[in-house]
Amino acid sequence: MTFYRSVVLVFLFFSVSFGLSRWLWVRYLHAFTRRSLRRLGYHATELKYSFEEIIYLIALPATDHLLQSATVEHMHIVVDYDSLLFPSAQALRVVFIDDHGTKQWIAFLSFDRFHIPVLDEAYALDKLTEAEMMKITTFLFLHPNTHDGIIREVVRKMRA
Amino acid sequence: MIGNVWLVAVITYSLILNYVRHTFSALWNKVAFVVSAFIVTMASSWFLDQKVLPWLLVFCIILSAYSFFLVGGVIAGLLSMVAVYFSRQNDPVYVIRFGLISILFGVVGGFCFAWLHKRKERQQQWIGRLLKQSKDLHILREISVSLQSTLELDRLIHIILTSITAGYGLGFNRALLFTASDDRHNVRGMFGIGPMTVTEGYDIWKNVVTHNMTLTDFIALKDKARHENHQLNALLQSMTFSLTDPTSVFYQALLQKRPIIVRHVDLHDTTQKQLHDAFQMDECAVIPLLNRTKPVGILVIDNVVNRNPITDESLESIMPIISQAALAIENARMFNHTEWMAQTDDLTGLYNHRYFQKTLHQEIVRAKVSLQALSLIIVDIDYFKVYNDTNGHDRGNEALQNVALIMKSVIGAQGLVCRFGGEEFVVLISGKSKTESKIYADQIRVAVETTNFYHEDTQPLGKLTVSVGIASFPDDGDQPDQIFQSADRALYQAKSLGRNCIVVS
Repeated sequence: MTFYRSVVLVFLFFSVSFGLSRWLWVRYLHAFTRRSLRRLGYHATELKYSFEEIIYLIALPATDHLLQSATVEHMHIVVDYDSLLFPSAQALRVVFIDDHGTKQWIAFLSFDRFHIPVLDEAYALDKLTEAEMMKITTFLFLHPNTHDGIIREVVRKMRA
Repeated sequence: MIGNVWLVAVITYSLILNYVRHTFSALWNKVAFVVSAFIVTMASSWFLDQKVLPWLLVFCIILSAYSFFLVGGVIAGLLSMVAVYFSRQNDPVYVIRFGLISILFGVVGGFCFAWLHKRKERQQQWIGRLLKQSKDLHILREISVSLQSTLELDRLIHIILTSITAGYGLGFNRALLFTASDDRHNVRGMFGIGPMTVTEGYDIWKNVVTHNMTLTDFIALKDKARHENHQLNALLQSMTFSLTDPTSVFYQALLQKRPIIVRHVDLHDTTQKQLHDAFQMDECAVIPLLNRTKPVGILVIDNVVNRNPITDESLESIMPIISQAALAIENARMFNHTEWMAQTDDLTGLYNHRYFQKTLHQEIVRAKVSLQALSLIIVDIDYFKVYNDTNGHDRGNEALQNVALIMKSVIGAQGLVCRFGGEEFVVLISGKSKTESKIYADQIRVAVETTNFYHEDTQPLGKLTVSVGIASFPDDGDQPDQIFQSADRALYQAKSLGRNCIVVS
């Protein structure tokens, strides 16, 4: 009986770690970002980020009639993480899903090309360390508001 | 009861660990998790059932190899052997056998994870390159469309520099363009885009991000860019560098026909020193603009704000744009030259009849809008046929050139002097009434009369003279033809009055 208990406990440890690691990481980033930005006198929702580095995999404006009529609701963000246990955000992919469920990769934003000028400036002025800047940037990179903003920008460019 | 306590303890520990370890650096995060996995494994088997320990340690070895590859696998294998030794002290053969297997397992696991990691990295690199190529293609497409939309040199240069400096473009912090002189012996600062200081750079960037500006938006803002980069351009346009000095980085770039990345400014090179002193340029790339091996100019780029190093790879993206830019600049120059030739009189260097007609129409429209006067002066050399017949066409041409010079020096920037044809010249003066214009006309007449022309004593009046007719808008009409005919009538009246005089319509 104790044999199984030992196995269950170890499995439990790994299961919690695998299952909740990413969620706990985002919780930690949230708390850290709120604390750090308060120190700098900002709020996460006020920070403007750059769309400049979004890479499009389709012609702009879109030439495909399906993509031309695409709405925000057709667009979805897929986050590429590096690892489940030691998560780090790699990139955001904007995927178009049509009414039949067919997926098409539309745009891509790499994490190392996601810039927030205010943070870059604070880092350059030694108000933030590189690690702190990366954590805040990561939180904003994963934030649903950022994803909505990117989707709106992609749709705008597709129609422009 | 004991089981539930263990259960709660492990869950709580896992939750705390998985929250807290993210506060550490990446390395210590991994160390904390692997060590914790060992602790949980050891504790659960130590206190509950030691027989299960070797099996559970396998997970720890896998985890360690996953986290630290070969080193992690080997260390985890050794630690596992030590742990098993303490639980099975009476069975050394088992311990040694387990130790060897676990180390081997760790080595194999470490190799496998390292191989997978490298493979993933390579794949990401390839995807990164492909995506970068895709972005470069988008930029090139957008720029090509913009470049084809104009032949204005100023606008072309603005498009090129914007595409190099905008984040939606290639994203360099600053770009300075120098264009080659006609004899290709010098380059002169033409136009630059970018901040003078780091703070200015961040301010510009924050503004760009706030307004969510695209490359097309930037390209549309030519005048704004000129205004915003006023200080940079004032400094840049005061700079001229020789292209014949072999020690200059500009000379070297043109000689080698490829970009040169300057990692550390060489202060012995006067070009680099001047750029460093004027623009705080520590690291930059010097890119030659060539059109069929002929130097068109030099582009200097740097990352003064974010200090990102300029790499050969980053320059690869710029080269297709540079080739197009060199061709476009050369085409625009040729177009400007052709346009200049089409509207200039070869002999006198004045604007010609075609240009006069175009400008007269434009000026009348402008005068109507601004409710200002516009005067037209027609100047005709008296008895010019006689002068030509007596002194020959070469001397006649010389006289035309001298009269043109006199008119240009009298009118200066106050108006436009054109050769209308033959020995007739016209002057357009905006904002001046007929009375005011008569002062200029009289200055011209007197200057011609008092100037010594070759053998002018053979003229019927004993000297070379001019007759002048003046008309103006709105007094003599609001159409170009009406005004011109009024001035022409006044001129004939001056001729009939004995010449060398002025008649105002």
